[in-house]
Amino acid sequence: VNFVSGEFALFLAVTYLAYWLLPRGVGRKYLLLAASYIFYAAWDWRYCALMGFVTLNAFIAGRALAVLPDKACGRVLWLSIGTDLAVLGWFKYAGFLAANAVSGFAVLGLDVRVPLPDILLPVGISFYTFHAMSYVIDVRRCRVRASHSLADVALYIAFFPQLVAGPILRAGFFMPQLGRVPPFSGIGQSQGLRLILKGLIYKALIADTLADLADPVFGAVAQADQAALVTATIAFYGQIYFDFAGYSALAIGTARLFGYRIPKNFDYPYSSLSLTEFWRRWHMSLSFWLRDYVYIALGGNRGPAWRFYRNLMATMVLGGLWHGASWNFILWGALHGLGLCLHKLWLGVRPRGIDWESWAWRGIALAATQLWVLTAWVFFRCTSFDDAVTVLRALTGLTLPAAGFWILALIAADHVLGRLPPRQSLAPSLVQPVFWIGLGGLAALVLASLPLVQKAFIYFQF
Amino acid sequence: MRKNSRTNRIVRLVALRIALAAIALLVLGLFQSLQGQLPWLGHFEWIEGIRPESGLAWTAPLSSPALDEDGRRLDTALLEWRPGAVTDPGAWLCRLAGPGLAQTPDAFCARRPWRMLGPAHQLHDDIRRKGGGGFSVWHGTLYFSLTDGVDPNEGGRRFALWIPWTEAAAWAACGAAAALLWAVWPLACAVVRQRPRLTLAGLGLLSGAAAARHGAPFGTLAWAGLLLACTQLLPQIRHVRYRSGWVRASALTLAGFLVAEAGLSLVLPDIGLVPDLQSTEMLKYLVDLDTDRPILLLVGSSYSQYGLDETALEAALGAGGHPMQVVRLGFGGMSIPERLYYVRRYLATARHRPAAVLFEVAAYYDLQPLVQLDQNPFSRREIAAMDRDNLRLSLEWVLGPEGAGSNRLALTAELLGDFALRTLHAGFLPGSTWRTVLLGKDYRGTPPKTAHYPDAVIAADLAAGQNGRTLSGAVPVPGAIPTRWTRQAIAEEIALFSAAGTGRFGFYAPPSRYADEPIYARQFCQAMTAYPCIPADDPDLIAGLGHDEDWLDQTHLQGPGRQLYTAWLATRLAASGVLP
Repeated sequence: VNFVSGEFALFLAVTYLAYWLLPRGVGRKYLLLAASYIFYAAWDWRYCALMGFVTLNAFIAGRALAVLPDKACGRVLWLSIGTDLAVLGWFKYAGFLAANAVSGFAVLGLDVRVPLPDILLPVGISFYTFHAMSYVIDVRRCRVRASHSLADVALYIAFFPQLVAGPILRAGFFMPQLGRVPPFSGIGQSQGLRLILKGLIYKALIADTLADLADPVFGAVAQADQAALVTATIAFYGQIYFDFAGYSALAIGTARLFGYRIPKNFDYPYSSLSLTEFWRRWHMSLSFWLRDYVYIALGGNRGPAWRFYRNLMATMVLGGLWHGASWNFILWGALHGLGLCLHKLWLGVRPRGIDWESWAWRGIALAATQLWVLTAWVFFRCTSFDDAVTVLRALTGLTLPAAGFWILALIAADHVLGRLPPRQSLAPSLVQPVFWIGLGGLAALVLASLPLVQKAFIYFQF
Repeated sequence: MRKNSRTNRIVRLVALRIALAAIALLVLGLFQSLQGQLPWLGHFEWIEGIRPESGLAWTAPLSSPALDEDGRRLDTALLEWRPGAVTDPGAWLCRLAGPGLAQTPDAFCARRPWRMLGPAHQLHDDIRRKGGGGFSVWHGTLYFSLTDGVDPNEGGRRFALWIPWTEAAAWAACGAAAALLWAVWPLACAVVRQRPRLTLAGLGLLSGAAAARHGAPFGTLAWAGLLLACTQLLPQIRHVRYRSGWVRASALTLAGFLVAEAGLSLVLPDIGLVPDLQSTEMLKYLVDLDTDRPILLLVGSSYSQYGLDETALEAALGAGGHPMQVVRLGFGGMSIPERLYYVRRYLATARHRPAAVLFEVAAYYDLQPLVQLDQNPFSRREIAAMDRDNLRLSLEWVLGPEGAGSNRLALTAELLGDFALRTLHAGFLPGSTWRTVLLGKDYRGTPPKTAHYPDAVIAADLAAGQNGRTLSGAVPVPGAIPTRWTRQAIAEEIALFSAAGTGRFGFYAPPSRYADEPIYARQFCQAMTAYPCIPADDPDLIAGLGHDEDWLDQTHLQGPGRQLYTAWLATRLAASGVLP
């Protein structure tokens, strides 16, 4: 179910009313759990069983970790994570690995037939398997207590606002919230509605409009001229941000309506002055997950420098691969890994005595970082390496078509406006009327501005 | 110590301003050296008083004294502005960028409604003989030709000459700009520091307005930016009293929503935004139609769109002593409620009202009046036409005795949904366009034929229609033909036309290979005796439609079949007394 659709609006309205009309207690949690599975079943009911299996695996592992002696815990942990990875690997990467194996053998001159499995990728599998792994690891690391309630674990994994495209919830963050009954909070409702409104504008108005500029060009790269390619690349640079940040805002806002908090997933990443900062602002839930569960597990920045850079590269390549079973995602991750390594190197060798915080250097850092990010998006978006090279060649023309300029201006406006401190100059008695009336008015204007036919969110495919 | 730091600050500020001015001049110098002229520094002169010269050449006087080419060849550019561009001479950035950018493959500028003519500096004799857009500026006069050879004073086209400034004037302008920058920089900094939101709002509005002029996607982006800014500027609630607050909050939100909706209802009809639909284009064509002949309006669907050649009908009627302008209100998939909606809109604003109206008879629409709604749920077309009258009529049918039995609930929900979406203007803005840029089209002609049938099959189909007496029952057949509902819709249409001064009405049923259509048409004509009714049941006509090339598909005529039916209808119309 697309978040920007009449069906979802109806589903949300019914669930919301039923949720808050129920008396406080566990009933609400069961209602949310049922709603989440109905939400998932609307895509394909058969895969509810797969999600149930992943949930059961996490729950049993959690309970085992709580009762078994420490010696056995390692095996339980790896068994559970291995099961999750096997599920993810089979459904997401089996076809890719088989195809590459065939190609690899062909390069060696061997005609080896590997059956190519034709598997439908379950929506949100990358997200809910990561949730399950997060739960087991956090239990093992004593960051969260192993839950006695299967329903709690199931709701943590399947909570519908974040089920199909994140943000990736950490068990340590979300599970404690399930232990208390969230009260109805006017502040929470206001925050949730504001985020939903923002998400709708991001996704339906901006991202989809930018998609109209980018998609036709990326669909026929060879036929496009330089200006069109540059414009389309900038449009995609904006599209992917507004699309995914819009989805995240919708997810976080929807969760807030039910009294739950989901951590921020985007923090104006295109204002980053370095790639390190970029990954603290872009898809934060994934980058922090990878940092805590992959990068640190690999050794982090301990040990010799080469190991540090290796860990960094490996983490980013895995991050790229997480997005999809395709070489372009791997290349995208590798480019970001390389950029991070170069940035770390630069921090070590840059001359001292220069005011690197001056506006001029900050401007150069911003431009360099964003140019790197934009270049990497080319590999993310293009379906073939040749297309990517064609687009990169167009980018080296160093021309900025007017269309591209206006798109960048919009992104800049969003980032500057969004980072302004909240306005506090209104008299306290006016704050609520202005907010609620304004919200209602804006809702009407956004409704009039929403295209009736919506495009799917980009991150639904991951 | 403090004095020193203040001095340092002033020195830094002055140095910064000098650096800025230097950078500006450097950039301009670079352009000068790379392109041979400064970018952007020029102006447009509209070409007025165009007269024919000789051969393919046209001349017009120029007012700018800088145009004499005495010893200097100015890099002028002649631009042709297509119709509709007069109200949009903006293309702000493209204009600023000058014609040099308009020649680039930048799709953004290339989409503007202008076209470069050229080459420039042509010999006058070449302009006269070869044409092709060549032009020359000579002693205050423009000599030019056009690529199509058509009179430039016709067709609403306009022409403008882009004139670069002389080098001295350009550099003077640059100096002035640098000085201005120098002067306003501290002031701008102070404003930005003191009023960041005001500055942002101003810049945002200016940018949005500028961007919006570059076409629909940028208008949407600018609008989205404005909405985003408003969302961001909403104050943050910090305290809400539990339970007592939410009723008030809901009431306030609803009030805001309703006020905004009321505002949209008031504003949207007046600013010239209309749904960007085929039906709106057709409506514009009908409303703006200017003719001195009486209008014969055909009200129908794709049966008429594909099955009738309006131009041939006009010619045949003219030859028969009935000079009329034939136009059609209707196209593929236009249901009766939808056409009633457009009849209302047409009569409300039409420049000329029709003298006679012919209503198409089609079982497909009459027996299942909401079939389009069923097939295309929540389509923009159905939503756009679902006003209060349409809803009332549709509900009367759905909930009446002859309404659809099995899916009444679904249809009622969809009718109410369409009405709600239309009333709340849902999706209106992205699906709309300015009426001024909308093309007025009547969509004449037929699409290419894709299906082919043996003549024997066609003959069998036509025979079934000719010989059949009862409907097949493929759709539930009501007790009476036409249905109570169809009678009501036609009565409303006739009342509307009569109120607008139209006094001549009739019915016609284009041929179809679905047997139910001719059978229904005969029963319809037997029942509707108040006005002339012309079913396509002439054996001679049917015999002439027996070949594959006569039929676009099973339902619609094309090619020779279309021409044959048009000529046949013209003779029947002349004899029916419908025509004035």
